[in-house]
Amino acid sequence: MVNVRESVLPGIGVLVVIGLAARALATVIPTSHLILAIVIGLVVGNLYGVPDWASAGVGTNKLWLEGGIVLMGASVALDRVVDAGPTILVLVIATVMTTILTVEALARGAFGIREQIGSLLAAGSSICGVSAVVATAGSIEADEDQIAYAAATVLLFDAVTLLAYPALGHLFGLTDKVFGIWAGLTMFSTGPVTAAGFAFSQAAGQWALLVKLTRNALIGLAAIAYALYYIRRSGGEREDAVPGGVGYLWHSFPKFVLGFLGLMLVANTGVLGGAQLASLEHAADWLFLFAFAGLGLDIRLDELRSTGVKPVLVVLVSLICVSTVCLFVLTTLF
Amino acid sequence: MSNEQQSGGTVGGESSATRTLVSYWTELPHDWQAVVLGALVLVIVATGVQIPW
Repeated sequence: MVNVRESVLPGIGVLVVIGLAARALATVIPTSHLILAIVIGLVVGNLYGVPDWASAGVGTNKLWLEGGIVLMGASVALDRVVDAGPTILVLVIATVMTTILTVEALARGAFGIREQIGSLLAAGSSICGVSAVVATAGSIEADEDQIAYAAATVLLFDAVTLLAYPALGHLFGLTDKVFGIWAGLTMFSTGPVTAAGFAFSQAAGQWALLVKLTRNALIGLAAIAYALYYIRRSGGEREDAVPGGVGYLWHSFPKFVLGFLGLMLVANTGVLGGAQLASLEHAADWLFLFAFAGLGLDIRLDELRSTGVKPVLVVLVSLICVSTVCLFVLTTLF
Repeated sequence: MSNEQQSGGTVGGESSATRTLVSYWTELPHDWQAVVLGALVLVIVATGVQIPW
């Protein structure tokens, strides 16, 4: 049996050290400790690599991210969700559909990219980054090279938008709510959305998470829709490739969203006092700090350079168009 | 009984209960692990433990 303590503890120690270094540095450099954790991780990971003894522990960063998201549920006011819920749902569905159609149109029409890669880029851009790329790949029978190509493109934009969004948000003087919803609607993977949101402000981070989790919940539907589309294209020869209905939706549904909702409900019953809510928020901050240290360590600049020019241009043009329209709509609505 | 396996099911310093727990944990998908982690922190905080920042 694998000794869990030996396999993950050294790597978790690395995350803790980087996280603490980021916190210390944030007292000197006026930048979010979360962004600094990612930057330190990125520098360390690309200069020295991640040693074998640390790789299992560093790989736990997704657990800390999702655990932090669950705990963040306690900070979200239910009445705010109920008030904004229908509008956010409409915005999420409209943005996801617009992004998919824009990326698909650009990939097939303007840039002549193979349709599977176009679809993977569309799923990754519109829903939840690399997770959506992988989920959709199974539905459209994409090969490993296509998955790696699309995933590298998405990761490149994760790295760039992570730094660019908070800077643009401050430049445009956006409110916490508008920035949070904007980042949650248009950035790609959950980790960078969370980091950018909380780097802007606590309230912006909560809005960003709420919107991003709503987007993530659509991953199963998108994978099924793509499977049905590709079956129609193949003249019904691949009917066995359709993911199986409700069971598949449940399988692909990110379960930590349930934890987020559970904590939100518990906190909103009023059973927890102010000190307890503050402690949950602090715990979430610590978990995010360790998660983002790992996120930085995972970013490989040499792999990002392997992305092709055309996929990058497709996603760039789509991101600029969709995020500009979204920003205009959001500043008008809120 | 080997030196590693003591009475009470201890192997390499870990009790069988710990091993069972670790086994359940490692087999749990990571998104469910996150839910368990959140619930655990909630219980700890609810008992009065304060987490500083």
